[in-house]
Amino acid sequence: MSDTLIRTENLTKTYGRGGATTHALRGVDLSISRGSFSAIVGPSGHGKSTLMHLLGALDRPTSGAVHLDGTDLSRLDSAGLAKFRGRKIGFVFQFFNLLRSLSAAENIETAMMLSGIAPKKQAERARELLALVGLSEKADARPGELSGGQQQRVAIARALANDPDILMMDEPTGNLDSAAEEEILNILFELNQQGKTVIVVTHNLDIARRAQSIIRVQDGQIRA
Amino acid sequence: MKKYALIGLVLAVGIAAGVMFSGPGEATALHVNQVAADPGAFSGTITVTGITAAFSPQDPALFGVMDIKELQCTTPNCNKVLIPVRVTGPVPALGDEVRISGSFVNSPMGYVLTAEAVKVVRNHKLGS
Amino acid sequence: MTLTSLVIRNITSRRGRFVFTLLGISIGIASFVTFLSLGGSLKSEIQRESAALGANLVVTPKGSCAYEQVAILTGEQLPNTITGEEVAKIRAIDGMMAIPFLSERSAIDNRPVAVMGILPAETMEFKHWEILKGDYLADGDETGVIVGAVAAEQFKLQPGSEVTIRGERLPVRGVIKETGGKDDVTLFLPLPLAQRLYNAEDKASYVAVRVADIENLELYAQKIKEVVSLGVITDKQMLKSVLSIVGTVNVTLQLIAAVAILAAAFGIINTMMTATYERKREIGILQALGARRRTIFSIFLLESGLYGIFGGALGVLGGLVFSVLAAPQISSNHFTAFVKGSASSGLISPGLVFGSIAFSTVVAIVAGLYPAWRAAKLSPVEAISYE
Repeated sequence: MSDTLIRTENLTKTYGRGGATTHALRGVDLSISRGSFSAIVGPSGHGKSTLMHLLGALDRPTSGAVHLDGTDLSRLDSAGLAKFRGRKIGFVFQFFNLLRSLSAAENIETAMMLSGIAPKKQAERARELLALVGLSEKADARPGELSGGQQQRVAIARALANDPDILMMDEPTGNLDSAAEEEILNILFELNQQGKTVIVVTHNLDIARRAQSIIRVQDGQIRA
Repeated sequence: MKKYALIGLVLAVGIAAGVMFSGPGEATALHVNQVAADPGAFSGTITVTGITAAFSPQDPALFGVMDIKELQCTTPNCNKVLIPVRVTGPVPALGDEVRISGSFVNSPMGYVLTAEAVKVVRNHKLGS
Repeated sequence: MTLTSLVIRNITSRRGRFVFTLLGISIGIASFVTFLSLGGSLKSEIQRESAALGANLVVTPKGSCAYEQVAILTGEQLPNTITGEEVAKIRAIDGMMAIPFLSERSAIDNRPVAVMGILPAETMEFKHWEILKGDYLADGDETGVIVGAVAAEQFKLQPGSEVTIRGERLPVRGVIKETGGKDDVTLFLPLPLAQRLYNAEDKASYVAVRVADIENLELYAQKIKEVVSLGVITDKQMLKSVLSIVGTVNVTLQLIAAVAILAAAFGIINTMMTATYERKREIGILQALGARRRTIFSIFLLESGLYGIFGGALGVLGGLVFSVLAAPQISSNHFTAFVKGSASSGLISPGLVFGSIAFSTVVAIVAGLYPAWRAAKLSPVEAISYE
């Protein structure tokens, strides 16, 4: 049991009313082990992102439950979910991850501010994290001055800010060229080696192949 | 951005302070009702503003001004105080609002404002 | 990184929008400040002057217009046509105390001052002055002058100084403690002295009457009218007619200020709504990072508040500069007559400054409530999915 970090029970998400309902997810049961590197794959529009949103406490299911690190997410109110997200999960989206009016370092510091870390400690840790992803010299650069790959690296650094157990990525390399993509993947695998549980939503089968476990989503359901 | 904002702020404060401490200056002139009671208390050149309300039948260079506020008084009982003004140039027309720069000179008929310059600001139609 | 620094960065990184919204609020507050410093407090000032008069009834020359009644309260030059005989008749009526005043003008250092001829002992009873320095006018003192606190300060007068009125040098006996009204800028002389100096022998400008029995005010007014053919008005009537003259311009200013502030408030709402819309993605990111609804709400509300503070400060500055420049231009009006003291210093008070900035902040925050609520209402998914 302690090996399973995330577990879902009959997870269902439905959009719309009356005639125009979309069944994004239909009764998904899955479990993800601590320290694993999972890839959620499947054709576009079939529910991958929806699944990640539910796993990441960004959204609530229509029915069913998500248990994350022993906590039933449906028991938490929106403030509770927010807190959970801030502490336990680090997100990286496909693009527009960073706050545009802030520098790279400030973006990372903001993540820490939201979990109540003092400004002084924020600066120190932000520098550490930027060094980790190899962008120390870009600390004061605005997102507009960074390349796509650099932005994603800053996003990863920010995702690590509060030392979360889980890293959730939604097509983190979708917008990047192969060199940048390789860089990012190396970082992700490195982090996984260090014990972080990594979940990547992707339609790129190359990434999927390198993952430990693959979760195939099709028509809102898990396919073996 | 911050630099410009700071400069702008300092400028604005500077202008405000300058205006404040130098006083309204030019713009404030004395009004007829403020000087009429005791013209002898004023020395040197002063600026008085008023409405041309009367002309001397004997002396073509003499006219009387009343306070601008008297324009608002329409009852016949209003005691319009006039101060006599002597000019060297042409006299203004009836109802002209004037800014007179001059000094009070004592004469047998009382204090007369001897004008160095008379500027007509606008004309008011004197009713009643 | 703190919440405040986040908000400040948000505001300043969008310069154009920041400047225009700020200008909107500044103009609104500037009009508000102009209105206040030029005429906003007018009504209370008039009421205060009326109370300082200490009278329930005022006897004026017959047929005097409301304009002249204003002059009673502002201390301006008044005609002096009430005769000593009439005054005596009024004073003979039982149950009321009537004192005459002669309202005149002079100047010190080419600056006009109000001069009042009074009956010292009785006026003191009416007005309850306190002596700050020196002595009050003693009965039988025929040459002394007492001065109001502000006039004393302006012209550096103290007991023993001399003032020249109508060519005569008179000794200053004492200085009256500040009353906050026009008495502060007035020189007071014994009535006979004033009458002599101004060639108004046995004359008065108006008579202030205090009755023993307020319930029967009309009765006393009637009695006065029976013995003299003069105008009698109650202090309430005077207040009303004065306010009617002065009040209309005031209302125009109020309206302008109110409209300007309303426009500014809508400007803020607009800016913040646009911000909410444009920054949906950023809101989503923040939520993904762990920001609660409350935090998002605070960020947006704080932004509105900062617009209020900066715009307020700028507006106060602009308003003060404008009113200092504009005040002399409208001096042909009754306003500046009520602004006591020297032209510029009376206009700026710390209270006005802080009060206006606070007001601006409140308006901005109220305007920002709805947009902030809308921003906070977004669910993370809604916000994230927006591109």
